[in-house]
Amino acid sequence: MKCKKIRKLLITDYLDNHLPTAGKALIGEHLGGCPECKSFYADAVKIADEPFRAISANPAMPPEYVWRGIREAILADKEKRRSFIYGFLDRVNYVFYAIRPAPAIAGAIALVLIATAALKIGTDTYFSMAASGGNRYLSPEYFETANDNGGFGTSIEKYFL
Amino acid sequence: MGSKQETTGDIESFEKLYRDTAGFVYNVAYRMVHSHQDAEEITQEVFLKVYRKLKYFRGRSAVKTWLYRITVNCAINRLNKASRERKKRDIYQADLNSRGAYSEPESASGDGEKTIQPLLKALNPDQRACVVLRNIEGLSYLEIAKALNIGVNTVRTRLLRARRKLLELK
Repeated sequence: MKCKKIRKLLITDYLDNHLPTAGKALIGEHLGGCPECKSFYADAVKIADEPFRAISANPAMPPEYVWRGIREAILADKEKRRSFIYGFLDRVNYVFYAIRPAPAIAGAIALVLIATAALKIGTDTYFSMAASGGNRYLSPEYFETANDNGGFGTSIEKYFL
Repeated sequence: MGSKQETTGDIESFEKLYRDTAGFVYNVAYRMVHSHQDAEEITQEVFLKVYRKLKYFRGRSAVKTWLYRITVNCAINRLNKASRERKKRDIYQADLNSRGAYSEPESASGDGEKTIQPLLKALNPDQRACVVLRNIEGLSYLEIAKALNIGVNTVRTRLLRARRKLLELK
């Protein structure tokens, strides 16, 4: 392996102990024969690892007034939720949030099926009406004024026909 | 009356969760923002969010992972907001400095803190979150990936870039 690739691993998986034993051995072998990479790794440990170790051993709790503030805010929140409108909106929000993917997909499919069926019924009705004399929807004036050729005897008709 | 008892019991069990987890929430927040006041505000914001969203928590991830995610998101939001405000303030600060009227007070902190603060400050918020979770909280790459909702390789890349940046500071 080339030094460039080794160094990439040195400051990630090797430093964080995320490599399998075989990988570790391979890098260990390289470090034994490459003083530049060895020095690079020593620097990485010194700069990017050791300073944080001292800190991680010393965790701190937030001051007590932080909890008091949270508690007060929760109680105020509870009071607000008791109001009718807020409570109602909260429940609606919960219902929408609680919709799981499977029922939501099933609901969407059902909606599409219902819409398709409604469209099909509408189309069938239209064509069946058209087939059984749909021209009854035309104005009665059409039948009264039309001549034998189905025209109105206008000059334009004469010109084109 | 029943409702009041329910509220009290509710808060008592939430207080237990707070006592168990506030330490790492506060520490992660502090490492991210370098200010005790901001870290306290973030801790408060995180636990209020947790309390409000607790009923939506489906247990797909561990509570700790969920808390890390909320904390890091809150901290990143605050850092972004602070960055926008700093730009405005810098103009004002430059004006005051030019008149010799103001100097930034030094924060009192331990030696360890003094060493890591410039290191973390050199990183962008995403890299900082990865370094804090890995080097201070000791999370594995997979745990960080889950906490930040990113891929394991993204975690690896962010750590690589962060450490390269730290090595350049040498």
